[in-house]
Amino acid sequence: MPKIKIAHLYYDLMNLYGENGNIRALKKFTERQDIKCEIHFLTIKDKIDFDKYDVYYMGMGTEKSEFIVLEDILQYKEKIEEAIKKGKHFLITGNSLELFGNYIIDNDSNKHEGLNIFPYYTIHEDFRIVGSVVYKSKLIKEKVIGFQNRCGTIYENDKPLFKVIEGTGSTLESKKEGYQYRNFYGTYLLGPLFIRNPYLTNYLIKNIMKNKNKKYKFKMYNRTTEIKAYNTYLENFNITE
Amino acid sequence: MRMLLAIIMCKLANTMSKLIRKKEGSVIGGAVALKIYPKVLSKVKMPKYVIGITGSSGKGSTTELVARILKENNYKVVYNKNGSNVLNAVTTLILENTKLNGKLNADVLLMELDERHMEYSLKHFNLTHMIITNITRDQPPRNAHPEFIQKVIKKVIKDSCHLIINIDDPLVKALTLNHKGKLTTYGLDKNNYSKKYELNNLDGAYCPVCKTKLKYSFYHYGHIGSYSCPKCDFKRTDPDYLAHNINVVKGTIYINKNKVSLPSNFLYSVYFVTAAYTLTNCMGLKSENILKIINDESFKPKRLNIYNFDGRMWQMLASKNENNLSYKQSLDFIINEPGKKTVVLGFDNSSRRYSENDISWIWDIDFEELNHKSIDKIVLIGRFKYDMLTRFEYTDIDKKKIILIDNLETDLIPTLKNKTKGSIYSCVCFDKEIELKKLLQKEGETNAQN
Repeated sequence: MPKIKIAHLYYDLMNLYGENGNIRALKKFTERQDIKCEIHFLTIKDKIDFDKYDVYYMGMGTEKSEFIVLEDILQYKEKIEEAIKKGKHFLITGNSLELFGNYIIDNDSNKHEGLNIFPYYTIHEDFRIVGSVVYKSKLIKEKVIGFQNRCGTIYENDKPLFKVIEGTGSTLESKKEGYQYRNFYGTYLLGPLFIRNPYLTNYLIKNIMKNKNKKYKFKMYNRTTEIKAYNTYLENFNITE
Repeated sequence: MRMLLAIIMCKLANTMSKLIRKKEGSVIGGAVALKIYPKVLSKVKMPKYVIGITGSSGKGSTTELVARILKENNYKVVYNKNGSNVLNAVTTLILENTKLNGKLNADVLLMELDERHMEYSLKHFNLTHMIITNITRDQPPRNAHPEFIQKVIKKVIKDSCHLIINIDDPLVKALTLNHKGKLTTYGLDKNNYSKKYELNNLDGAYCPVCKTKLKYSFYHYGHIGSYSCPKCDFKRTDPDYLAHNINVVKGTIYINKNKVSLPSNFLYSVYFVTAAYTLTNCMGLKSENILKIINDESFKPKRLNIYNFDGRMWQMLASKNENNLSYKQSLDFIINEPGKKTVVLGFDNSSRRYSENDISWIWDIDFEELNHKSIDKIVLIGRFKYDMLTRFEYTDIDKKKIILIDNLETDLIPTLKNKTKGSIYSCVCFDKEIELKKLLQKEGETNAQN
């Protein structure tokens, strides 16, 4: 049986709310494909190996947690950069996306150096951006639904993942959101994104498997409850396909 | 002069509002008074005790109980009965009870304070006592996250205030680190609800002083429990007021060796009873004078939401959407009730306060708990029923136990009658509860208490 290995990074700090749904979705969706899914929960003080895993997932946290993580993750800068260049999958949701940029200016105007793998930078505003969004991406034809609750805005985002249909982008004015480079997929969306967007999750699983084995045949399941919930949401909130 | 005008206009506006709307006007008077004289609150001569009660949950119940204990002990108490606790409402409350000479006509001003917005009220006057019940995930679109609320509360704490805190919550304890004023703590001893295992989805999981991961000897629920930092001296110290020998199902506890009977069989009632006891004892009330009120059966709330349905009991519990730990206490309650049970769950909107419909919170609720032999069926209703069904598919609960109701009007009652067994417990949002009550009325069922 094929197998994928997932590292859930800083699981005990980056878990603002509902983030646990994402890792559960990755497991369930891969198991549906008869793929074995092994998840390792890693955090501060663990030695994180950026070669060993197929997928690295990190969720949204409080601002305080974000900076605790930043202090720790900086030690892996070169390894992470190398892993991203090699095409390892990074699925990054919420404010953890900010860590991969050049720097972050916090609420007290202090500048924190980021991993500086990507050229964007973040400013923590004195207001929060809260609300539902509808996005479109080049990855799949179906729309992406989600929720944001953040104080950060990302500037100089040169490789956005999503086009904004409804809601807010990287900044208040921007119509683009998220970041994609090779197999690095990052977005400000929080909570159980991979549960709520089954088409996106299927795309990602397929992509992860193809990355391991080019001949991998993905089985599409169209009648899952996740898809029913997704369609019902579009219907209830008048989001047209 | 502006002060006088503001007081008069507040009273007048409220009287008018009550006459026209035939109900208590809770914000209009305050709004009018603040327009006339924005500093009006800072000019009121406050009584000896100005008490604020805040936190993510339990503040309303604590306020009610404190008010009752004080009133029955002959204190003149002014408090926000209807729980309206934003600036306009607090202004109305204060000015409605202020004499024309500017003096608040009471021994105690007692306020349930909204944790998110109390900084606006507390700009104008100081608290003598403040209870902080807990800081948990609660209505995130409005409250962001626990550490955001922690920061907001921190801003209003002054050294002149006697803090009374739930020591079981590290996020609350962290608020007292630099507090130079009086501090009294309360907390719960290990009990049936306490768990030992390692939880990995906690708020405030790292020490606020040295950023080391906290160790827990037990958890009551969520991040509330007995924590200590392995590196520095940040820890849950022994509470000044300890609730011990806790038996939630039987409804009895002891506080510092005094026997107390609980008003309801929920863990949260242990907390609010202990908090109210702690505060009133700190104010100088004798233990026996507090306990005679708490233990008085005639003050126990009636269980109004119990119905007879087809020869079965149906109890309606309020669904605390977007507060996973409060929601969990409803599930705990259901599991601890005797006999077979059918549970009805669902919601149309995440909130009554705002239009945001985020469903992240259902992933933080421990629905796995319903994987229990006493649960016959789980019936899902409401606009987000497929999201709920998805959530249940990620538990180990047998699929055959789960029923989805497509049409509430036509399908729910026959389904409950023909396909489910045992007492019914519904935990649904406010709007859905109204619909359920209508369906019961159609069936000719009445409230069991009537």
